[in-house]
This record gives sequence, C-alpha cells and structure tokens, in this order.
Amino acid sequence: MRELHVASNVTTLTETNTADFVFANAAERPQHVALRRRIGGTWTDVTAKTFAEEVTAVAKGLVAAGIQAGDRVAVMSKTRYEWTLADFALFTVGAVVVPIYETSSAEQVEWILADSGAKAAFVETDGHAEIVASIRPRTPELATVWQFDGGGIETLTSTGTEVSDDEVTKRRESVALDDLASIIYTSGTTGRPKGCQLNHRSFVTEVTELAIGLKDFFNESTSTLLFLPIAHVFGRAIEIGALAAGCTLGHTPDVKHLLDDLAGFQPTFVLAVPRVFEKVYNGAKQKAHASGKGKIFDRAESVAIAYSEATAGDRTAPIALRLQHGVFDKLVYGKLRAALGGNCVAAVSA
Amino acid sequence: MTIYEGYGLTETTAGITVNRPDAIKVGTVGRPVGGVTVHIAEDGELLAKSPLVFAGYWQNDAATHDAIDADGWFHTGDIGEIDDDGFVRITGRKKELIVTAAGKNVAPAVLEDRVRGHWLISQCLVVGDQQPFIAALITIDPESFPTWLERQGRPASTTIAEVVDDPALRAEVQAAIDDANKAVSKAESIRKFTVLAHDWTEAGGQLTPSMKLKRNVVQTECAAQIADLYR
Repeated sequence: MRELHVASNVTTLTETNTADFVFANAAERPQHVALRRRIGGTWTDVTAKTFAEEVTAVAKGLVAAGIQAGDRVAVMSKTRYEWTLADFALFTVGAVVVPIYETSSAEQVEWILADSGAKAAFVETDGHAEIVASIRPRTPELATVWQFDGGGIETLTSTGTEVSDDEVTKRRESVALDDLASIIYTSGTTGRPKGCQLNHRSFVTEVTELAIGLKDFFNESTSTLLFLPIAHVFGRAIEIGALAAGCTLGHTPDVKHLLDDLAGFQPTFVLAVPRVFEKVYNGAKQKAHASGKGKIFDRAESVAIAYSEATAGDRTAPIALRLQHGVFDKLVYGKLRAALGGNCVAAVSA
Repeated sequence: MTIYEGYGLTETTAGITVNRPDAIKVGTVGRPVGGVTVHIAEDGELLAKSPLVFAGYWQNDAATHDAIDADGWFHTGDIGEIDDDGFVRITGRKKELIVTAAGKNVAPAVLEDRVRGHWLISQCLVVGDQQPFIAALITIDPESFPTWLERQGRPASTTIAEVVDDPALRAEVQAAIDDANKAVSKAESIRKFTVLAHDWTEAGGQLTPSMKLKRNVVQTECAAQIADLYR
C-alpha cells in the first residue's frame, strides 16, 4: 500500500484545551481515584475532585506570580506527582509547558531556557536549582524558579489564595484548541535540540483517539505506573491520556525503585521503550540459566512466540500449543507478570 | 501479557500508529491512529498528515520547512512500508542509511537491533558508509559482564577493558553477529567488529533519554576505532 487514511473516531472534540479533562472528571466522577501518589512507603489515593482542587490552587499561585497565557514555563524533574500537577496547572492558565530532562547538562538547560524565552521554571532538586542558578545571567527572561523539593508547590498554593476560583476558570476557558500547549525540545541525534510546538488540539486529539483505540486498558477500572520521563512525549501522552480516560495514574522516579513500586502499585498496563523490555528479558533469561532452569525458560520462550503467532488476528491456537502455553504460564510467565505487580495485562512500547 | 508496539515522534505528539487488541500484527507498529493519513514517498520515507502533526519548530522556519512540505506532509525521516492490511512497518532511519562503496544500501537498525538483543551486549553501531564492507562497534553490558566472567571462571575483578580482544569474549559477540547476519543479504552482513572498553550511556552523552544511540556523537568519539576497522 502506498497511502492509507484511517477515519477519525471523534467528530467533535468536547474539550477546548488539555486542562479540561481534569475539571470534567472532577465534575463527572469526583470520587474516582484519578491518581495514587507514594507518600513515604504508602500509595495514597488522590480523587478526581482533590486533584482538580490542587491544580486550581497551583494555578492561582501562577496567576498571582504574573504568569500570562502564552508565557513559556519550564519543568525539570524526574517522573513524580508534582510534575503532573504543574503540567495541568500550567495548561489551566494557558502557559506553554517546556519540559527539560532532569539529566540535562547546564549547557542543555541554558539552551532550552534561553531559546524558549522561559519566564519561570519548576525544578525538582537542589542540583537542578544550582544548574539553573549558574546559567541565570544568560537567561534574562527567567524571573521565577520553584523547586518541588524545596516546597515550591506549597509556596504557590499559599501565594495564590487571594486569586478567585472564577479567575482561574476564566483563564482556562479562554485557552483554545489551537493555542500552543507545549514546546518539547527533541533530544534528537544531531545538532542542537529543536523545540517542537504542540498545540492543545494535538494533545486532546491524541489522547481521545488513544482512549478509543486502546479502551481495553485506558478506562476507569485500569491503572498505569509511569516510569518513562514525562519530558518524553510518550510519557506525556500516557500521563495526559490516563487522566483523560480515568485510568488511575502513578509515578515512579527511576529504575532503582521500579520493582518495589510495581509490586506496590500493581498497574494493569505499563508503557516502556524497547530497550527496557530487552533488559527485562535478558535479566530473566540469565537468572533462569544461572539457577539451572535455562531449558525450561528457553522452551517457555519458544512456546510463547509460537502461541503469539498462532493467536494473532483473533485466531485460536491448536490444542497442544494451548496446553503447553498453560503449563508455562504457571511455571514461567506468571513469575514474569508477578515482577510487574501481578495485575499487568498489557504493555505499550514505542 | 501482550506488548502493543506503536510508533510516533515528538513532532507527531507521540503515537500515530499503534497495535491494538482488535488489530495487532507482531513485527509491525500497528495501523494508523484515527484521523491519520500515512503515505510512503518514492524513496521509501514514511510521511504523515494529521491533527497530531506539530505546529512547526519554535523560531526555526528553516527546520520547519524541511520537516513539513508544501502539501502539508510531515516527513518522519523513517523508512517504512504499509502492508495490505494497513499495518505499518518501520525498516530504518533515512539519514542512517549506509551506502557501501559497492553501492549497497544498508539500514543499520535491522542489524543493530538483533545484535543488541544478545544478553552480553549493551549497544551496537553499524558502520560502512562509502567503505568496502559493513562493520560494527560493540559495547558490553556491565550488568551481564560479571555473569560472563563467572561462567568463564575468571576473577570477578577483571575489567571489560582487559578482555576486549579475548578470544572467548569475541566468540560470544561473534555468535550475536552471526545471528544478526541471518536477517540480511551477504553484502549487508557485518564482516568485522571491535569491542569497546566502555559502554555508551545517557550520562556519557551517547544515548538519548529514550536510550537511542546518538550516531553522530559515537561516530565522532570513536572515529579512530572506526578507521581501524578498515585499515
């Protein structure tokens, strides 16, 4: 085939911007668990209503700080709850979110802040704050920095108390689909990072289409634990998509905590990049071979491949293959699923 | 558990194709997402049109014009195919295409993905543009390396640097190369390789945050080792 058009699943978008999802959820299903956040060692529910209230409180702080619609505001942090909170508060006031990878060097941070003309920035750690401080002489437009670890969210919340709910609603309602939502600098493989301008229409369309196409795992009875950087467009799409569809969202900052967090959060699906799956596969295979179960693992592997090929396109596998698959499910596959928390039925790879 | 592979770029607001429970084909990146038109250009490049396509690069009209043509097609930079059922397959990066001295076009991703799948190998860079044959640079996975040492009965204190030319280590890597070479024609196969002492990492600047190889960075850093492959 040379060309293919697939018809859109949506005739009219009901949202006029990305922030609307959060407020629509708060109105339609206030007690639904929109997110779970790890506080200490415990995963704590955050309802749709509570999240919308927190977004509003931070948005008020942004209004009080003089952030205008169209202002660029950077966010430099590992994947954590506050990233998502800042993201939606910024969407709500019409600011343009500029993600920065938390691993970025001072030179990269300087380029992104200067090129985007960022007026403010959220950073996570003391280290990030020091990097931003070191380049501030060369980013004259940068007026304010809030630090997640240093109580930046609390500061915004308390400085915003004078701003009314109506003011925030008015700001949000004036953000249109074709307004700029985010500038994402592509990590790219050549040259200086370029800022991709993405408008609200793109985000709203992407997550609406994904929620329809992948409705089996993007719905109110599913959950996902995000471990990809939110600065990566795929992490961002899952972040926004989960909140749009009512799929309960959790965050985990790095691979160090991943296994514990998977066990505690028990997501029903995860998003990863191919290299992560290769690592999981190689790790499991090594472990099996080292403990003398290499043959079982290898046999389980070839059965899994044959089974997935035989069942592609809604076909049923021959009985012998189904039986073998059932045996290895107990012996091998179940253990791999347990490492993902036990409830994981799907993974999306990009 | 099923893995649903998808495809997209920052410029397309993440996924423009994705496998779905009701439409999945292993080895492809799925059918286009609703509202997306995909087109294969004369040179094999995958083009797309959709509300998901970005609004251009920030303050960089030249780059925007390179990416989105006059007819509104976004040029993904990836080489792809659309099969009869509408599933898209990505076969390589346009800019990464290697043309050997004999004029053979080689998409390095096909080889690199297979080689990298080997348990002992972390990364692989296939080279050979304007050269007589295809070759590769290989890095060893530091997490798997201790297992290899143990199996070989070597002291745990052995470093990767000490064994890059070790026959046993090279034999293990050769097995991965042989497997990868099965995927391609003889003219496209890897004939020679060098094992490097150090892995490529995001922190080292050789990988992007989504763990993709920055080819130009590695090609610059390892220019001497690449030149040695053809000496």
